[in-house]
Amino acid sequence: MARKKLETLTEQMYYVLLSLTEERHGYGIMQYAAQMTDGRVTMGAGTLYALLARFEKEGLIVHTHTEDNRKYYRLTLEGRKTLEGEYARLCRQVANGAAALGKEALP
Amino acid sequence: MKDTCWKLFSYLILDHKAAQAELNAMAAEGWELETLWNEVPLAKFHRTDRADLRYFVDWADTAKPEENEYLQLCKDAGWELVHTMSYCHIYASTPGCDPLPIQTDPELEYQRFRKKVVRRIALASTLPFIPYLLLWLWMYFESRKYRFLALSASEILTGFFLGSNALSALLLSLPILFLLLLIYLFCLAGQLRVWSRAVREGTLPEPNVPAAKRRGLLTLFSRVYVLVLGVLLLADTSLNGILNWGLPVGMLVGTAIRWCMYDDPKFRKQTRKLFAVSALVLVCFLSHSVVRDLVPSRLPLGQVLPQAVSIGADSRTDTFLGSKVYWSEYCLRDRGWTNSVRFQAKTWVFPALAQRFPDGPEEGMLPLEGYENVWYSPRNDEEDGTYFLRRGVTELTVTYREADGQAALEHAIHWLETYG
Repeated sequence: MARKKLETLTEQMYYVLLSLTEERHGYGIMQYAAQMTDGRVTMGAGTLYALLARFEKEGLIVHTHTEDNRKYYRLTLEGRKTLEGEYARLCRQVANGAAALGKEALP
Repeated sequence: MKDTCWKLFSYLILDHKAAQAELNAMAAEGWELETLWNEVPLAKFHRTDRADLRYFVDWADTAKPEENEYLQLCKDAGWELVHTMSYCHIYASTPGCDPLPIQTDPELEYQRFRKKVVRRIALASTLPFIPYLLLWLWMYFESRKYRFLALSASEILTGFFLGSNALSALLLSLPILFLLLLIYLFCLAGQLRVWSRAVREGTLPEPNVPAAKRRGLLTLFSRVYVLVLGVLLLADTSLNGILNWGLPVGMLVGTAIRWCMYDDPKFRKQTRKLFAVSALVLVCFLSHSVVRDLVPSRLPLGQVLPQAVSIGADSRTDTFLGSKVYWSEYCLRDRGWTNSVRFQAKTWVFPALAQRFPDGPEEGMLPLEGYENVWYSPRNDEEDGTYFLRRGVTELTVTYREADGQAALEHAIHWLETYG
């Protein structure tokens, strides 16, 4: 999903950043996200390429090297901060959800 | 059963998803894309046993060499680049794969198309019309008697119409092109509206293939149009000699630089075509004098004056709208001096054009008594002066220097009535 600023991340963005906590190339990212979510989060090559270009432009990831025409990336400090911020936001959402559902579940 | 089939494959860039739908429909019927010609929008298919064959058509900047890393990513993901058509890449799924579509985020795809493709299309389609609009503005100001430039728009148009077939065709067809541009931009706006509405619902619009095929005729038209202009430009080069060494040599040098800069096979293929075009332009340029002598003109170059000893400074151009010739004739005078008479003749194919773009008489010229459609300059004297003559769709300006004006006029009338 294209947004003006990366204040919140889409699920695809979240998993791309998550997969780059380790150095990976594009197809490695696609495989990692699909594997981690049992095939629920998938993305096409073009979509992933556009996301990577955007993350790189915003300094969230960095291109480390190229091997066999495959570009490898990893998170930058800024990227890790963004990822942790999103993780904290999601945790708050889950906690809020649990609290709300828990109240409803009470007799 | 036939093993190959040919199809007209003409789509606008905004209909690339319809092109994809057609390729996938063909694949479902057991046809694999073999070749795609961009110059003539035809596609050749051959029979395939593959049941898993699918295609994805994606916008691409074909002016730049495709990044190898991106193509590798697509290949890893199960898509192989098989063909390129104007601003689009066509990918085929690799055997045994059931890959995800290359673009899986409709909004991202829409934004990318809107920002990168639409802006480029709008600019590229609109910019060529600016000189045309400026010409119309110029003619408007002229008609209001605000002449501020040495040449009038009519004079410039006359130069184009009688000097170059390609420019004449371009100028005459511009209103049609302008209308087609408006239709194209209207289609583009409509497509964007449909797309943005679908994206808000999280999907891509279902392509309307028959409508896209109808719009694709615009592409077919543009290819034919460019081809006709190219042929006319080559005809101008060989017949009218409108080029100098600069263009063919510049084209060859530019193509050689391009050859050295890009070793990508796709670019090399394009560069070979450019080499062929440059060589063709060079051949046409070099054959100018031969072709000019072989093709008879509507207005042959002199000789008008029987006593002329030499003819020089000649120039001749022929178009499908008319012809113009300029030349000078020199006669011997006493003590080795020469006198000269310069002739400028123009003729039109259509009388309406002759009326719309008259070459004279210039302001201040007066009708010559005893002659029909002959004007003279009041500054004329026995040895220096100008006459302007008209017969039907042909006009002749006679300028004499230190020569017998009256004799020149009589001979010019005879020439005009013979050839004009």
